[in-house]
Amino acid sequence: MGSLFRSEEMTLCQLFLQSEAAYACVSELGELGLVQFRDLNPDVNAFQRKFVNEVRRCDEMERKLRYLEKEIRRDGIPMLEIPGECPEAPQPREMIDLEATFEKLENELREVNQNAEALKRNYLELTELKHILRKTQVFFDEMADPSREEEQVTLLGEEGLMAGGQALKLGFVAGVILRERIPAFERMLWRACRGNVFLRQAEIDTPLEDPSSSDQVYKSVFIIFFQGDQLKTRVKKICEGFRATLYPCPESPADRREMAMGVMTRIEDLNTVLGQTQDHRHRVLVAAAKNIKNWFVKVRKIKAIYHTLNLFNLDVTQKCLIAECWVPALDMETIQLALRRGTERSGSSVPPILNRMETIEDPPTYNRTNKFTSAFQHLIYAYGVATYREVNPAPYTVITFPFLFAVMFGDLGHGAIMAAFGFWMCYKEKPLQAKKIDSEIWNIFFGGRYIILLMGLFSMYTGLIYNDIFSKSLNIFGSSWRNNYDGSTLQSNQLLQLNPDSKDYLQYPYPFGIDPVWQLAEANKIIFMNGYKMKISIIIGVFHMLFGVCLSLWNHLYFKRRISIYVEFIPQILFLSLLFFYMVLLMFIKWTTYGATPGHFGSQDPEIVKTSAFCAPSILITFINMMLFKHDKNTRPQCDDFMFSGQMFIQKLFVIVALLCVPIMLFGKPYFIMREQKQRARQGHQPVEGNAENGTAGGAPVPASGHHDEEITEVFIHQAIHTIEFVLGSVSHTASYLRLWALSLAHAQLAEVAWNMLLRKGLMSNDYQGGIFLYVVFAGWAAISVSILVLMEGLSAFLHTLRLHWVEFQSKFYGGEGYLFQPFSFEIILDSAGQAEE
Amino acid sequence: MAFVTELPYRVALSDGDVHKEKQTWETNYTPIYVMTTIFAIIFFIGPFAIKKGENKWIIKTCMMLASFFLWLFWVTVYIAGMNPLVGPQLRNTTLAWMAHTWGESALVTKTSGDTSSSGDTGSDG
Repeated sequence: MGSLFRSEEMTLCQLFLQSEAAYACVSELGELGLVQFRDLNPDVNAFQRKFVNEVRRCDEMERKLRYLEKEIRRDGIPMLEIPGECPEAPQPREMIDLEATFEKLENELREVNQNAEALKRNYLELTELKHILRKTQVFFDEMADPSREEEQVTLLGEEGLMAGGQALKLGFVAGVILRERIPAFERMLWRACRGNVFLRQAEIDTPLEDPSSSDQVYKSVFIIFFQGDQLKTRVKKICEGFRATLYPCPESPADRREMAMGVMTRIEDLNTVLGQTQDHRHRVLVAAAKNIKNWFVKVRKIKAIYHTLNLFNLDVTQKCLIAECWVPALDMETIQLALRRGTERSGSSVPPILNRMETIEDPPTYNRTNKFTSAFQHLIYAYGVATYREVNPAPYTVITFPFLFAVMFGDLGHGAIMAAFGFWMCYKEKPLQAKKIDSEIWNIFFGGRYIILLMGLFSMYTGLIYNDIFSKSLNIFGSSWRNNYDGSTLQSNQLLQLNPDSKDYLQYPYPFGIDPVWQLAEANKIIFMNGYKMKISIIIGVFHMLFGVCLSLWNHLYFKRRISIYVEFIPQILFLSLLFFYMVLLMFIKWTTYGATPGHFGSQDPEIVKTSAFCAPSILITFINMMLFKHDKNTRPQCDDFMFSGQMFIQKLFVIVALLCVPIMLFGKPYFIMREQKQRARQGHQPVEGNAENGTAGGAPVPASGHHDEEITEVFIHQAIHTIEFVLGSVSHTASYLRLWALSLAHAQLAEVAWNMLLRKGLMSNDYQGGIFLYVVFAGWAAISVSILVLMEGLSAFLHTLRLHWVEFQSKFYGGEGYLFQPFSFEIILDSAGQAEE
Repeated sequence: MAFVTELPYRVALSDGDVHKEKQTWETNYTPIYVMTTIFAIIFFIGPFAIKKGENKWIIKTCMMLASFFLWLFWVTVYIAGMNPLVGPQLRNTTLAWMAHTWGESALVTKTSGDTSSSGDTGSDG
């Protein structure tokens, strides 16, 4: 029975595979995703395993693919997503082909990149030369300008000029330097050469591309004039230090012009070559981009298969691989088929053998979920994985979780927003999934889309019942309250209260939910709602907990713990029902017994007074008095001090029986365990199916060696802890359900504040400017409604509901000591690899 | 606990017409019967309607749980509101609006002790 009720039955199997067929069979099993392999070589180093070479080759291939991917991304080429089905894991011989392809691609790409870099360097040099030639033209023109001749005399003074009788010859170097370095460069030159050099510089307008880092940098052309060889060497050294590139610049203008033309031609040639290189690279990358996702999948699958093969044992004859695996019992047929397919594919003649093994180990827990139930199952697993074959709380969580959330969130408007959001995500499931959006928050919301949809729908229902839509109520069926005060009373009193014991109340309630008049009430709306909401919280809580205890009955039956039924289940149910379910009944009795009597409004008839609002007792006080066996003095003589005849006797009886349950819970089970252990000791350690101890799971084989007897004190302590936990927990958990009231109150109040402070002011404004004001105010109100009321309150209510399930509900029956079934599945591996990439 | 009392009452219509009718007054349990029946059908008979599909069991469980909790929620509100012990405290402006839109109470008793006739109640100030 593969259902969610309890986890599936698992068998430990041994798998014998022929070495040739092993690869193909494992590939088929990986596609299936239903087998969890165990590591049969736990003490073997990763580097000493059998298939470590293949794994290494796969790693190498992955590295090459990642390099390719980086280059593709750099160029911004879109990578084709895999259409349709994932490609299957290729055969081992195909691996060599793949390796060759990747090798070739990588080498080609590296070569292209290197060439491109060299070409770019060349290009840079030529460009700089071009700029130099252009700019220095200006400098030389200035130097030759006759109007500036007096400046030429400065260097040696007039004596030198007269002595030499000729103009002094200035040497120069020309080069290019980064713009940022120019001030420091100038300063250095000035200091080092004692001001005897002359620097002219001009900025290059266009930025140049640095070949190694591909950054755009700004550079300047400079020319330094100096005299003499010493200065020349000094200048050259400084230029080296500042990493300025020097270029040979001819002196005569004619030479310069010629050089400039030559440079231009060479630049044009280089451009062409560069363009062609880039084209080639682009073509190579585009061709690779078509298949790269495909290749990634294939390589990852191969690697996964070899990792799995490393877990196997090689038998003595070296011809057969042995594997141990956990397999769901229902899927044996499917797995056999898969194995046969694998053997056929590999062309091997020997069929694989799959046979069951007996074991006393705990099998893993496996629950088959679909896309709807998996979200709820994950909520349960987050607390603890169910013990093997234990009752699974997840299917009930599908309804109780949204319901408890809705009790806390109850607002028709906000619920509608949430439901719309959930509906959109579920409706557009496939396209949204295909997009593979990165954001983690989105993935959390999208993963819980069905939860959100259900929460929204239930919230709409509870919103209708609470009669709360954005803090206003709907009057669909007509209120049951009327105003009977006349005009003069109204004029002289600002606040008036309606009396249910009169014509003000039509003596029948609003048919669906809370009467709409209560939203209009001033001071006592909250008081009334509190009384009602607290009671409904306790009622829901008691039912939820009783349901939890009933589930434990199924666990006891399945694990054949008959004694537990008598000494654990029955006392637990009695304790909870006699005390807390009785309180729930008291609430219903109070609601139906006390109130106005139509036709006898305001009557003083003692019989009628006894059932009027005046005599309604407080449930809390009644309950406390019941537990303490106290009897308060009757302060209202017209009223009975009981709600129904025989109440005192019944209450005393209930409390006594409930208290008697406690020692049964405390000592019952240890007593039976003790008795059994004595029996076993007398029979001399013959294995007896333990009825009281945690018996064997139904269907699993009885272990050959019995359990060794636990220490009797351990058993007592264990049971004492459980009993105290249950007894104290019953009180504290019941009170804990009051959070349903607290959060719904907070939500209602927040909604009211948002309405009164924001939208109401907008709606009450007049004229055209009122329209604009309303437009702005609505934006604010909507933003607050969505961000605080839907998102924040939603998150808060979600958390509290989760806590109610994990602690209050599950502590009644859940063990949660299992471990998860983690099958060898390509889907899971590819998903996690894809996520790790991003 | 149904109070069966014969009460003559007068309906005050907006055009001032007043006429007597006899009506048996009972605590109105009809909505409880209706809603309980609806939810009971979903709870008891719904599961038999699901015959096929591999998710039979969980659909049935969900139907039963949902119908039970939704019914419980509704029935608690209804029973809580059947015999209210206090009434709402309202502003005089709200009360005036109530009288204007919802009309006055349709219940006027003629037994001794209760006096007010239908005419002079709830007129606008």
